[in-house]
Amino acid sequence: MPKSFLIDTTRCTACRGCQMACKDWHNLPAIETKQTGTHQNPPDLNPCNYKLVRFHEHKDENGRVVWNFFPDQCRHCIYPVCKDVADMAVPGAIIQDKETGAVLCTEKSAELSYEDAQAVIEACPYNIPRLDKKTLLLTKCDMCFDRVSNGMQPMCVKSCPTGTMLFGDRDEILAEAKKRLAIIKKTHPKAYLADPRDVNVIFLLAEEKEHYYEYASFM
Amino acid sequence: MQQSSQTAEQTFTDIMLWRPALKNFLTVFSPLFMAMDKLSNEMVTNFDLFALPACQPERMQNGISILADFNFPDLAQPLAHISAQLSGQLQALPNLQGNVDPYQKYFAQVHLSEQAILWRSIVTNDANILQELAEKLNLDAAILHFLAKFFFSVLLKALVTKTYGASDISKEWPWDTNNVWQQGYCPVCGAYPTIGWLDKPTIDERNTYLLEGGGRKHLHCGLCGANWRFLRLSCPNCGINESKELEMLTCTDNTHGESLDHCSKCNSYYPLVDLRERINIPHLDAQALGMLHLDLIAHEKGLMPLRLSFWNSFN
Repeated sequence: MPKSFLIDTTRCTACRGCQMACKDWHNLPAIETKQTGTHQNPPDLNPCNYKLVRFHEHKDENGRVVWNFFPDQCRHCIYPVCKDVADMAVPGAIIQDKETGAVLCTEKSAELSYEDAQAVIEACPYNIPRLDKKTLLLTKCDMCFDRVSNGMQPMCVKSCPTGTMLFGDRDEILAEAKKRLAIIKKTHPKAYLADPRDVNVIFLLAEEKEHYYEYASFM
Repeated sequence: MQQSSQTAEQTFTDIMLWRPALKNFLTVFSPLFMAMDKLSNEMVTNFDLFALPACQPERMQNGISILADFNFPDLAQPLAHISAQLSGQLQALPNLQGNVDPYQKYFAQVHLSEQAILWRSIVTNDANILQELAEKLNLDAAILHFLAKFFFSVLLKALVTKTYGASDISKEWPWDTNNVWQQGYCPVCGAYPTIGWLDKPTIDERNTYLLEGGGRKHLHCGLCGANWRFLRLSCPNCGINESKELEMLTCTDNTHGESLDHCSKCNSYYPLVDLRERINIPHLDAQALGMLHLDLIAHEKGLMPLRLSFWNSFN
């Protein structure tokens, strides 16, 4: 049974525990960063941050400031375009685990030419993979494959104190997503699930995607 | 999130992937565990079972389990049915091959007075109680005890489900209400637990920004299938609640949320699984059997299992 995440952004407080837990579990080093005028830090995904809480603020129709948080990560697409593009150049550079549905960059991704790696990055509808210029590897969330294949929750889910993130069998997560959407719609009528048929990381958004992030959803 | 528990087979499959060394052992018992669950569920609907007494808070607050002084009606018919239905799975157990028939003949018509003796030996987990009966029947007391535990377990699980509802990990049992049951033994049958578990946090819609609970300790009775909440820092055997006396054994890598909780005062231990670590909710009886590797280490350290079972008795 493929696994899925539900990320209910209406519960996210941007504590960034998930971001830190991911970095910690993958033993990713600290990087130099800079303040760009928001609390979003680092400013973007990079080879040392597979998970990033994105911040966005806007005024609603009443002039009230709405602050949205978006814990961005690889969506582990059901039909991953990145894999198809990578396969054309170096088969096996990106693979998909049948058991869990995890889409994984392998060591073979370092064999991709710079142009081919860029083609993979640009093919992603969610702007996720990043090229590590030192190792030449493509990097992104690996669904904590080592943990999940041992029956354990991904680190981001385990560390979330608010219940924003849930992880489990796809059919149970889809059922929970629909249930939560029905609850959220009572207070946020525009709420919707982002591309639930196409991805294994299903975001519940309270309003249009432009109020979160350009690549928050594809459809 | 409402999560369904795994079947015994699913839990065994996971554990065999993690610990291939246990594969031969678990493969032998997987069909038996599956058949027991199926039979127990069938009996709830297809068998004319009696109901167990309701939970009485005053009695339970004094540590008296529901079946402590319960007079069972004649169980000959359900026991005969269970014995016949599990015949194939028991015949397949390596040490019982060709040796089950006389026991099945016996369980096909157990006399009422002997049912009480069998029941006492199961709840107290003492095969010696059956010695006299076994000699009279020309049977082996240990095998009689071994089989009777399986048969009574199927029946009790069906009775518990019929009376108190299906066993669900997120269920609030009658004895959990107001914490009326605070003992280390089962509130229904009085047996010691085979395994403990720490629960997952839940979403409470009234609290928009934080998860509710998580990490509370529960104990599981492998005999009747009941679960009950228990103090996190207390020994179910001797009741001591000093943290320095309560210790934990765990693997150094890939723990899967598994550990053995043991008491350095009374030397008892029981397996524990932290469900906050797990994606799926395991079948608890299968999970306990799959932690045999920790039982071996506990045995080497001179610890005693809280509930003796066929997989953790090394003598």
